Amino acid sequence: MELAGLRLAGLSLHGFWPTRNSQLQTVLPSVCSSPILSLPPQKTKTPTTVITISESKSADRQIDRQDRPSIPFRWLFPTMASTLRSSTARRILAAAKPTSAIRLLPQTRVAAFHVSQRHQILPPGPQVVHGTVNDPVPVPTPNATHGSYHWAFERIIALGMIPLTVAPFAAGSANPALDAALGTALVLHSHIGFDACVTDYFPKRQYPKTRTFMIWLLRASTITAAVGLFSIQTNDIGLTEGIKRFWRA
Amino acid sequence: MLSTRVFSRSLLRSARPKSTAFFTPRRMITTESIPASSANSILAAQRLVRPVSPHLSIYQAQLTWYLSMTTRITGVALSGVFYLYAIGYVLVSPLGVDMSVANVSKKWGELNGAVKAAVKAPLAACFSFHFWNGIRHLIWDSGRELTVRGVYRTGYGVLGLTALSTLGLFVV
Amino acid sequence: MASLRQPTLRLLASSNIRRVSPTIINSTRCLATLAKEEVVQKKAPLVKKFSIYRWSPDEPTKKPQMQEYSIDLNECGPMVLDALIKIKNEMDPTLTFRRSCREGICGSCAMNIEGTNTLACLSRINRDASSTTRIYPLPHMYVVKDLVPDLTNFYKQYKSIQPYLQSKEPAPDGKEFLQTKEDRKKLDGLYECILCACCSTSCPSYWWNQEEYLGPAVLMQAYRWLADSRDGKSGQRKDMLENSMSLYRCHTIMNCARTCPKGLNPGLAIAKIKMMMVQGA
Repeated sequence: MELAGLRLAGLSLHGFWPTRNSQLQTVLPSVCSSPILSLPPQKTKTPTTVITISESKSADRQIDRQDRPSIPFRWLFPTMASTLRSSTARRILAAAKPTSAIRLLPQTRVAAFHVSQRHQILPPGPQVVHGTVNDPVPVPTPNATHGSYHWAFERIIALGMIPLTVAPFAAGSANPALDAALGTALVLHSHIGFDACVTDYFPKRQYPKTRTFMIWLLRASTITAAVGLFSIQTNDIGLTEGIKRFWRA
Repeated sequence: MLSTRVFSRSLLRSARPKSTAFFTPRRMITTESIPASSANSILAAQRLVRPVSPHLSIYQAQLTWYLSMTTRITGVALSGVFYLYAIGYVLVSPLGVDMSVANVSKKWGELNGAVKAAVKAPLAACFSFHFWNGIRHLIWDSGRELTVRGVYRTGYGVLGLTALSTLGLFVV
Repeated sequence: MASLRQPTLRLLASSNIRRVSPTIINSTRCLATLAKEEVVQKKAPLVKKFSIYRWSPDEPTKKPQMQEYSIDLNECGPMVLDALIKIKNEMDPTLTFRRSCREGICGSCAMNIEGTNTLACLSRINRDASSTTRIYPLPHMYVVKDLVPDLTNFYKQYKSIQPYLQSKEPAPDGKEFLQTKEDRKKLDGLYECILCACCSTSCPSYWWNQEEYLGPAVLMQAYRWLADSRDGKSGQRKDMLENSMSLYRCHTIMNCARTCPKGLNPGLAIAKIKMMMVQGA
């Protein structure tokens, strides 16, 4: 099926059709015919994108040694006896003026990219690699409570909620046992769902304090909601009846 | 000090083979020798300034992640409303505000029909979608319909069932 | 001339060639005469715009930008990698990207083309001249330069699952670990992974939790070793995944299977791991 023209109001609809990416591209991998790393043929113009390396002394006048050669990108290299620390790098970067000049071809256009890291909701932060590039990532200690048991428990609750969301309303008259079951399942399911959101969006290393705060806020909210639910079911008419009244009011 | 340096430099100069040309060509690029151990610190400094490539803003709109996102959003919305009411019930009643079901449904019933429908419709849609997609997730967890075709088939099925059950909830 | 394909021309190419009429020679098509006989029709240029993500570590304070290039598709090969190489050769040699095999088997040229993660060498250029093809690096990765992401963490995660055969005792006959055809069939669809990282970088869970969540590519390889009948360390392999982050950040979004340029299904493999974890088998 030809999908080239599948657009709706400018939005490409390719993603809403179940073609696998591999089918969209090619059945038999065609051979890329361009020469790789070939020298530019003589008849085309010489590439005019030029990066000039400045011969002048760099802007870093703090390091004032006689036999220190003038090199560009000095901030990349450490000082004599010390290694570059992150704060040093940032300070130098903030002060450094770009010393290269890039001339662009007239037929290329440069547009600013509209999403910058500073405006993201939860920015990922600078790259950190633990250990060397040859070390495997550390394997956490196995804990089935947070692993397969949690997953299985989550599925059991979800499975149980299928009849529980339908039966009390279909039953007609109020049934306190079903009501209690629905309420408990609802609180547990909501807590597990919110917990998944917190775990996903607040990684421990980047947001240690925020994550701890959110987890405890969630636990407090769940307990308060459970108390409220219990109160509704004992002192008030109950969850099922409440939803019915809200819906039919 | 100075004399030893001059002496060592002259030694080095005499040790080097004499150049036959009148001048040695000057290289346009100056170099600095750095210890091999500084490679890691240079790399670490470079890593700190790397940008992160765009993701949400550029990735193609696909049924896969759009429906998953919608499931999460509907879940948070429904549970949020439930939590707010239940927590309000506990926290607000000592302050004298009556949040009992009878009172809230009375106040709610007094509202305009159009306002009520405008609130109920998205709630019904959220609940229907979350319900049917939840079943889709449980089907996946049993190992079924986990191909691209299966995902799209069940996805469109969920959307159709959501529309039907939203209408059905209004009739009920 | 004995190496010519057609035996008729081999005869013609012998010393008797001068006695044969030229029309017979011209009518016999062969490789040697084809290029000279064909008249090349010059097509009107089909100019296509490519908008490519650019960022240079030489100017780290400068924000990443999109740079547009115009290419005549009639002077270019059919794949996006052809276009990138043409840009690098003729227009802008500073454009940086990874590439190697140009046939979809090495996984080097993985990038985000028109919103989806694919291999540039397998992705045909969309010949609609009115739209711009947007090319980005793999999503939510630290950018080394232009279209080159830093895959260090990806490889470290792959190493952590111990992707090699581990057995408790040596082979029964002392030579090799035998495997039935049925058991070997279970590995089909798993071993073909070229570790291009297209699937992992298409997963929103991997975007948010790159350091702790292993991602579909690595998890599919973990399953490849779990499903291998010759491997004896399934218990340890499952223990490595028995925590809240390594495996269970997968919420069955299925972006991975949708984007795999080799047609593999990491989502299914992950679902099978989850079933293995609860079965205790």
